[in-house]
Amino acid sequence: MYEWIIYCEDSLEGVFTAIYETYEYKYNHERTYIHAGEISNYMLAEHSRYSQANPEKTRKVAQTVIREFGMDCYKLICRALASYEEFKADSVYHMIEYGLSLKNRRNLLNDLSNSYVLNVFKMKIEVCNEIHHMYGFLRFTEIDNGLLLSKIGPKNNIIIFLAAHFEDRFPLENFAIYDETRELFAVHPAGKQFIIVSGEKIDKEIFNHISQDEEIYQELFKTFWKCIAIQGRKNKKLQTQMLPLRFRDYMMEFR
Amino acid sequence: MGIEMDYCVTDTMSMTEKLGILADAAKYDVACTSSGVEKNGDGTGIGNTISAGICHSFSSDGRCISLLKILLTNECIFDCKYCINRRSNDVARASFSPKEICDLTIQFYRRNYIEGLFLSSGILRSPDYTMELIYQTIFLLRTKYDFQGYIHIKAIPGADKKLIYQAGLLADRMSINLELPTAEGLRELAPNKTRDKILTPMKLIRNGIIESKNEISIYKKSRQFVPAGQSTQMIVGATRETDYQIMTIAEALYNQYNLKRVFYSAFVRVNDDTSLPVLKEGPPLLREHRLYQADFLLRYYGFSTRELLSEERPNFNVLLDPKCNWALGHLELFPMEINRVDYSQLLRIPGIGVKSAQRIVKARRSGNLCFDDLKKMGVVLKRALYFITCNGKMMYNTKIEENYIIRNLLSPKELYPFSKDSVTYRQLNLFDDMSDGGNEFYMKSRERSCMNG
Repeated sequence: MYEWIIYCEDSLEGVFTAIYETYEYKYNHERTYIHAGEISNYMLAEHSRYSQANPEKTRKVAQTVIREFGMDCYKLICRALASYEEFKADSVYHMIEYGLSLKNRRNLLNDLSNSYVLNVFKMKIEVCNEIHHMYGFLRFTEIDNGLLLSKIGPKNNIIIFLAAHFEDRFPLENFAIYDETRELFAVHPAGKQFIIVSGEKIDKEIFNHISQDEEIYQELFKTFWKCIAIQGRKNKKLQTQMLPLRFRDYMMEFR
Repeated sequence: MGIEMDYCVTDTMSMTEKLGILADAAKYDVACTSSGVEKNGDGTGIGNTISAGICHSFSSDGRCISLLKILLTNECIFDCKYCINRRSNDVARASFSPKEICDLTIQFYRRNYIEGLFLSSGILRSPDYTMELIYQTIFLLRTKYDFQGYIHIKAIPGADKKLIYQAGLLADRMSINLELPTAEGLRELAPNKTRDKILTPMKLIRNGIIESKNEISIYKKSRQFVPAGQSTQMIVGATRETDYQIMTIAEALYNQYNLKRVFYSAFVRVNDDTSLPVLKEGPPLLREHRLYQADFLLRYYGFSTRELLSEERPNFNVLLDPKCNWALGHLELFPMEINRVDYSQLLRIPGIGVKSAQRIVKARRSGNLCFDDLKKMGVVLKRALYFITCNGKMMYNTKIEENYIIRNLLSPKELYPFSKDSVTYRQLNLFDDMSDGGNEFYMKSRERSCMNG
């Protein structure tokens, strides 16, 4: 049984602060578990506490990770922490702890026979794959005031990566991305940097106020989408393998 | 740019009708990839490119939709027997104006339907005239619309050198289809094209790319010539070429013409012409698949065509992939010891790909690997186990014997020869890392996912 369970905010800051505190308070790492997000009823430990995210402690952990394991490792951790997996915070925590015990710390990421490293590595791949899928499968709808609006429901918390990609792609557009499972908005005003807004609900009415051209282009794309397929090579199975069903609810050509 | 719009004979047609006709006419071109260039937007226009390319949708044939793949016009003065748009066919004809194409590209792009434009065309009036129209269209798109996304265009065989060069300065990728692997095939089915007419612009583009790379290394000039490289396509199964002939040509194209990709397109019989074969079982998709597999072996695994095929055995095995087939023909090299053999040998083991070979090389620096570690690194053990040892031991008591291994590899759904409950095999796709950005192996896994389309 665990001696300590530390709960923290589900964010990089939250997890890094919690990791810092396990060292600050000299917990026994083998018997400590870090959990990001809601308190779960199914975990029991001698003690538990909530760790409040702290920018200074976050910075120190980030610096240590970059110095000891390299920038690649830091970026990998950032992506792994966007995962939906329950155990993500704990895996990152124990991967760092394991890494610090090594002589050749730069080689940490190649050490896939360590289960924590493997977990973090797998989460990172899953997150990155979803980001890459969403780069392509995300759809914008033009609202009558010219705003491009997109609704998404990804497994992992990747809105920030998507916003950065589309900011570079559409610098002069007003666009917004809405993650409906997490109630998060990324808002990008034309020519400015995007911001993330949380805790707001979307006005469902807004999708009824599409621009005049919107329907025309939706129809045109559907025409293109149908005509580009070669009937003689029809292969629904391959289509489903390449474009899993969970993405399709948000893609207008499948509606 | 004084070409008047009098070629537009279809002005009364709606955009939907035109798009339907001109997308339909473009669909037999298989290249869809938007890979090869990594370029951020400059903040003043619209668009950027990602080196891995992005698939935006998948059509019902399972091929990826990345670019707006259309013809400028499907009118054509040529009469290639296999082509739906040939002069002698009675099909609905349509043409886009450059502005229509630009508007469509930008509006689709803004909504994130596509990654860019793939513009091809039937030959209208003359090769020069057609090339000029293509050039005008992408000139408008790059300048007036300030589009910085991906553009792939066809170089028209027989068009003027200067026109092709100018267009190449605006495009990311250019392609000229070889169409039929041999000169005889071409003479038979594409009477208006000759080998020479196709290879001349291909050489031109190759030289342009090399020069431009050298210039850039000196001056850091802004605009590169065809930065994503050049590709081509061969139709498989329309004429009598063997796999050996096709792969030999592909190899020459990679080595001598520096091509980025060669695509293979299973022949679809769209015209009822006596000179075309009737394929009862539909397009030769499995053959196409084997060619792609072999293509990857050439490009990433250090194989050469002569190792895979020969005059005596000119076609690929239908049942086994080319790498397994090769391994079974060279059993004297196996089993290989995972902890000792070098990287190039690792790549030759069935069940080990580029990524897992890289991981093995890195990981064994910190200690000897066992079968369990290999599994974690994404090695497909059910294939590899017949060909490897870990610390001198094979995974199971299997025989190094051709018939025995074939029997086991081909058993229904490739079941494991011995069921051992404690061992579970992970799906390979978990390790198909798609977003490391930049390196060529990453591009490979992306391109592989849409290699059919």
